[in-house]
Amino acid sequence: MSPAPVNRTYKQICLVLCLSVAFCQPVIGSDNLSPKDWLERMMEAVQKLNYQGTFIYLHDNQLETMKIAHAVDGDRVRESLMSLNGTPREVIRDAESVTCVLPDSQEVSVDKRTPSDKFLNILPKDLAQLEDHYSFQNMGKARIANRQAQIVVIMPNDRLRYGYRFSLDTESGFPLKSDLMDEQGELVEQTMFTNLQIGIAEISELHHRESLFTYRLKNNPGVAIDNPQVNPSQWDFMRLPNGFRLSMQHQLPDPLGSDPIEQYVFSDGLSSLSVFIEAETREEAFSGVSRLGAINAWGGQVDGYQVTAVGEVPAATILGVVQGMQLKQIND
Amino acid sequence: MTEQELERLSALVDDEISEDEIPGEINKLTKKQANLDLWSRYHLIGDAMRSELGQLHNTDMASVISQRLENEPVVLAPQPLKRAVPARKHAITGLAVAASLTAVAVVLAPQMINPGSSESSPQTIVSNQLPENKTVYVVQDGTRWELLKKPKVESRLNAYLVNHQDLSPSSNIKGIMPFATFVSYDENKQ
Repeated sequence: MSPAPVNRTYKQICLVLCLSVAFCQPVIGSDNLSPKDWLERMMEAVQKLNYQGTFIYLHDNQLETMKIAHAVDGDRVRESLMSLNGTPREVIRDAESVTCVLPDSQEVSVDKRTPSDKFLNILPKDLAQLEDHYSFQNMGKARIANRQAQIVVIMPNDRLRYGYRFSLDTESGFPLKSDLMDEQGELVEQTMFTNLQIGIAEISELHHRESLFTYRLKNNPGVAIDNPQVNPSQWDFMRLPNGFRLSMQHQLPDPLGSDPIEQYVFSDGLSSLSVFIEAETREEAFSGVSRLGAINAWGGQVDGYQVTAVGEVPAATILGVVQGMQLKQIND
Repeated sequence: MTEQELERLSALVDDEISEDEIPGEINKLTKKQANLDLWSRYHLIGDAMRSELGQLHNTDMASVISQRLENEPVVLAPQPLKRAVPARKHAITGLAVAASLTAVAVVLAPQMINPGSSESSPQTIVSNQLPENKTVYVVQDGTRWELLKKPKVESRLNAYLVNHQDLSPSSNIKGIMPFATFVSYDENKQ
């Protein structure tokens, strides 16, 4: 390659230094921050800092180690997440795509990202809106990965969503430990950093990973999803679980079929689920319920369509959404 | 067919007569249809014993052979033997036929029970019994999704999960970390 990476690296280092100075300054009066202030700091840190580290991921009585990196270079953000156990699965994400490298299934899938800046940035302004369904609380101090941390809890007011407990780096607001609790208050998923470097991030380009056998599943580049709301909904969703609203709806090209897939995202501002609707029937279709860590899923036929619902919400919430869906009656 | 004729036929099948005698025996053989039938049955039995049933199309051949052999009292219940050398020869032939019944059963039975499992299995029989386009994902037992054992379904569900995670507001809070669910490995599938 040309010297471009060197330039980029240089710029990155400069940026890292600037950000390090900005974020490593002691936070004045951090003791007086409200839970919402802490959460806003957390979102800022997660999105804007350069960082890399290793964290432990515990779910379903299974313990794993993962490596994470988040590199901000001007407007360009690149993130990577790699499992350090078993087969080296990896997800690399930037503004345009999410690339999943799964050597065990000999698959690399590259999905073009939906322009969804509005959606992604909605949260900081809407923390107040979450109060209808969650309560926020500061829960004392902790020490994680040799850093001082503030514990902040987001507790759901009902059993339709999960609860969160974050241990946030006192200096940067970065979540050093995250606990996810189910509708019974039981831990379903935990992540905890054992090593974190703020201000540094190294993510190699994907083409450096060509030793992996790759098989690409690409979205049709011609099918731009510029306006997610352009398609009138063919479906009615009635009696949505309390607090959940339709956040967005769009169509995805199906790499394996001709008809596009409709996706509906429902959210209460924090918890969310997606409903995917396929017109084509497949030989092997997902039918029934399934679970992966804190993720629940349901698959089945609704009005002759194959429907798959998936999200980090209790199974009851997923079932509540799909049970109330039906094809719109056309009256013309 | 007389006992002597059977002995001669058996010897011919087993290539145990002199070259000079062969043309005469073949000449006699071709004069009667019954002789020819017996000739082909003897060869069939021999093929079965050597696992050379490649030309068989009738999977019920074992019972057919069994039925036909029941109608051969000479073979299954040999008469007392008069000559020393042919007597020995006859005994071997009778034993061979009896053994061949077992052989047919052994050779065919595994193919009927578990077609395609034997390397020496007759191709015709196998292809007649197995649906050709059946794909079996036997080895891919470990799926990361609970209650899911279908790789294609899992793959699609994974694609949906990635797509959802990307739009989930919780990724705002945790960045790429929600993808940990997806990246996590299956301990049964290392």
